[in-house]
Amino acid sequence: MKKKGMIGMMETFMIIFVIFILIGFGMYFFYKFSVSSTITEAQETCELSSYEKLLTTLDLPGLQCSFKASPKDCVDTAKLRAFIDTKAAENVGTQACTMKIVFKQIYPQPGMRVNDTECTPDKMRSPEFPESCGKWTLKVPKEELTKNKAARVSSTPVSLYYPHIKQYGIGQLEITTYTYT
Amino acid sequence: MKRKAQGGEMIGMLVIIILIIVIIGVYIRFASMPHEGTVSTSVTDLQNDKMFNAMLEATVCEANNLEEVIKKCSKSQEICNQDSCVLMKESLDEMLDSLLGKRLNPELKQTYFFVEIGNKKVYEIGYDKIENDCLNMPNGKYQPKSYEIRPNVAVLTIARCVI
Repeated sequence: MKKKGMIGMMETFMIIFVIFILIGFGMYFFYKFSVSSTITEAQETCELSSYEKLLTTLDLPGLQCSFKASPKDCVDTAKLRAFIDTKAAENVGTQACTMKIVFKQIYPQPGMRVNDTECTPDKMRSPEFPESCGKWTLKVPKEELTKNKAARVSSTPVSLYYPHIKQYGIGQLEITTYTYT
Repeated sequence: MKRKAQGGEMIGMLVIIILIIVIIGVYIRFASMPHEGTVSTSVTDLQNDKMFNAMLEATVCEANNLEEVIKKCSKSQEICNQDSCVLMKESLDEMLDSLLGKRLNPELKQTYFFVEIGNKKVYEIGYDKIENDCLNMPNGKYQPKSYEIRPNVAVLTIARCVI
């Protein structure tokens, strides 16, 4: 009787042990999938919110081209430079997502030596402009905010207007979002 | 007494089977989640719209933009003392190389761009069999987008295969 009781007890413990192992596996898979889906969702939300915020900003009269008081779907490079210089660009984007926002000039193509050169007011006044420089940096995050984070670049073409020469070019708006891997 | 013990074992077995089914269910639920969401689609739409706008507005020669050049090409007229259709092709080559770069490589089977004037293709670049190939891919999403220069001048189309 005593031996039978012992066997019964052992059986019970074995079953409880197996059940705990199965529950552990279940929790592990649930945790693994919920973490990965949360990261993906956060990345997509960051990407979408950065686009939304940026488009809202591009609609501001402070950046958008306007002719005879009617807005046009392009970015005025003179207004863009002024916007950067007034530090108003620091408020572009979201607080939750660390972002780097750069306008790159791609047509007409700047020379190889200058495609990474910032378009400062001096460069923009030079007779070689728009071939004299290659980018306008709207926002750069602090280095400590980008450490140990994965960078994901999203880009969209934009029409750029050069008021000094009354011509249009093509730019690429690059948004780099930094998220945990 | 023996029958009672067997009943307990059966319940234990049943609990284990239920747990296994629940774990498999949770795994399938999360593993079969779609990877391509509305975010990516809306971003691609935005990119296509902005690309057409930027390309057609870009100054190509003197004060003429690409839209003017295409209009002249549809009428077989010259622009800036040049053949407008040759200028259109040269400008599109340069613009698309900067905008899409490697994605236009036919070997990658990712992108196809073409311009039609009166239902005739006057310019094409990229992978022309993209539609059939993309639809045959298990996760391939064929995304064409067209822009018409009115009235009935030309139609610009970009087709992408998003995986």
